Amino acid sequence: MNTQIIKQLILKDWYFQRWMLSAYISGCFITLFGVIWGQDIVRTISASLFVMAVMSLSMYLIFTTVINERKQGNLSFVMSLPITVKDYTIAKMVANAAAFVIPWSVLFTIAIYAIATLDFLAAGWVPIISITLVYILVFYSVMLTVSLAFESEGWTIFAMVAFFMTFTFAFMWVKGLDGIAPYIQGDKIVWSSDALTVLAAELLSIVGMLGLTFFFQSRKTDFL
Amino acid sequence: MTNLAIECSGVGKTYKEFTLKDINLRLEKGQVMGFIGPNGAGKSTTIRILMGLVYQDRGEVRVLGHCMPDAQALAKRDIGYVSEDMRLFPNATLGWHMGFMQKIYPAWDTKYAEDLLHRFDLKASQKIKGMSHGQRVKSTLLLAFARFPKLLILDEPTTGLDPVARQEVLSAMMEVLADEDRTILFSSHNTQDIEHLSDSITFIDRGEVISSSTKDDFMDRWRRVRVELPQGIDLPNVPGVKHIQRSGSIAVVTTGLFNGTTTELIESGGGKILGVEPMTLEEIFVTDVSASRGRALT
Repeated sequence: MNTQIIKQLILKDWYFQRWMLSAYISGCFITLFGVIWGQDIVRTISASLFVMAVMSLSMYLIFTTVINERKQGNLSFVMSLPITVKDYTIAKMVANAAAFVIPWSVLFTIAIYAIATLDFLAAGWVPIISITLVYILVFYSVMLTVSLAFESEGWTIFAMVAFFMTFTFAFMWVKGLDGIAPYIQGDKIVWSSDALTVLAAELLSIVGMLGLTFFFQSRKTDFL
Repeated sequence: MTNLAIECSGVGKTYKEFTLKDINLRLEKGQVMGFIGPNGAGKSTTIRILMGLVYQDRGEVRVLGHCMPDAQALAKRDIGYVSEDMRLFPNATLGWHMGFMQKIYPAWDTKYAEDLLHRFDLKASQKIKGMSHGQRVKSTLLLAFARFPKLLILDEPTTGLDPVARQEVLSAMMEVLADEDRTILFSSHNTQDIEHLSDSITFIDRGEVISSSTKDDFMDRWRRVRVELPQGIDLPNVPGVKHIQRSGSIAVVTTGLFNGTTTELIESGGGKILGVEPMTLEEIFVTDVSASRGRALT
C-alpha cells in the first residue's frame, strides 16, 4: 500500500471540493438550526431541507469525486500514478468517508443532543431520528459502493433514486414498529429491541457495503 | 539482469467484440518503438495491459523487469504514461498539477519542468479547462517528461494536434531521446511521426501483431518492383510478396523481403525490371495491413 500517494489523492479530492463542500455543510447546519430553533412551519420545512441537504452532500461528493473523475477522463491520469486499484479504492473511500462522515457525525450529535435536552421535540424521537440519520449513512455507503464498483453514472443514479423512493416508506415502517411507535411522543428515550435491531442492521449493512466495494474492485480486470 | 524494458509473451485479452491475440513484444532499454495500427487494432488495449490498467486473460507481461499487473505500482514509478484520452483536472491549474507530481515523484526536475513550460509556451497559472487541446496534451507530456521516467509509454499523443503543436511535441520527444537510457513506446496511426522517431516498429491489426522489426529493416526490405512480363511469361515466385498489381504486360510487385536476389530471380524467370522503388512507412503499413486482411486497401 502506497500511503504517501494515497494521502496525496485524498488531499487532492478535499482540495478540489473545498468550496462546494463548505457550502453543502453550511446548508446542513443552517437547516438543522432551523429545526432546533425554528417555529411551526419553519421547523417542518427545515426538517425536510435538512434531510435533503445531507443527502445532497453525499450525492455531490460521490458524483464529483468518483463519477466525474471517470467521465472527465481523469481516472486515466490517476491510474497512471504508481498505485494499485486497491490504493485508489482506499483513497476514494477515505477521502469520501472523511468528507461526509465527519460532518455527518457532528450533525448527528447536535441533532440527538438537541432532541434529548431541548423541548422542541419529545425525547422519545431520539431512536427514530437516530435510525433515520444512520439510514442516510447507509444511503451514502450504498451510493459509494455502486459508484466505485460499477463505475456507472446510470447505476449510481438508479441507486440514488431507489433510496429516495424508499426513504419515506422506510421511515413510516420504522415509525410504526411495535417497539418504537408507543414511545415516540414520550419524554423518555426508549431503546427497544426493535430500535436496536434496526440500528444494528443499518450499521452491519454499512460494513457489508465497504466489504463489497473491495470485493468487487478485487475482481475487476479493466479499470479504464 | 534483462536488457528488456518491455517483454510480452503470448498476451491475450478477450472482449465480446474484440480479441487481442497472442501478442509478443520485446523492447530493449534505450530504444524507441513505434506501435502502429488502425483505429480499433488493439494498440490502446495492449498499452493498457502494459500499464496494468487492463489485466490480460493469458500470457506474461514484464515491464522494467516487473511482472504485470501484480507489480504495477512498482513498475509505474518509472513509467511516464500519456494517452490521447487522458485528461488532467479541469478546475486545477497546470502549476497545481506540477506541484502534485513533485510530491509523488522524487526525481521530479523543477528546472526542466520550467524549461518545458517555456518551450511549450504554457502558463503554470492557467487552469486546464481554459486550455486548447494542444496545450492540454503538452501539459500532460510536461508532467510525464519532467519526472524523468525510465520508460515513456505514449498512446497517440499527437492525435488532434495542429502542425505547430505537433512539431513542438516531437521536438521535445527528440530531446528526450537524446538520453540513451530512456525507452519509449510510441503508438500512433501517424506513420510520419513514427518514422521520424523510432528505432523499431511494430504493426498491429485486428488484435494481432502482423510485423515487428527495426525501422531500417522495414525500410530496406520493402520495395515496389515494376516488372515487364513478355506474353506467355508468368511472374516467378518472389519471396515475401504482399501485393501484385497487373496492368497488361506490366506488373507492380510489392515485397517485404526484398534483397539483391529478388531482381535476379525475376529476370531469370523472363521478366524485365523497369524500376525498384523504396516505400514510405505509410505505404508499407497499408500494404502489410491489407495483405494480412487478405485484400487490397485503396
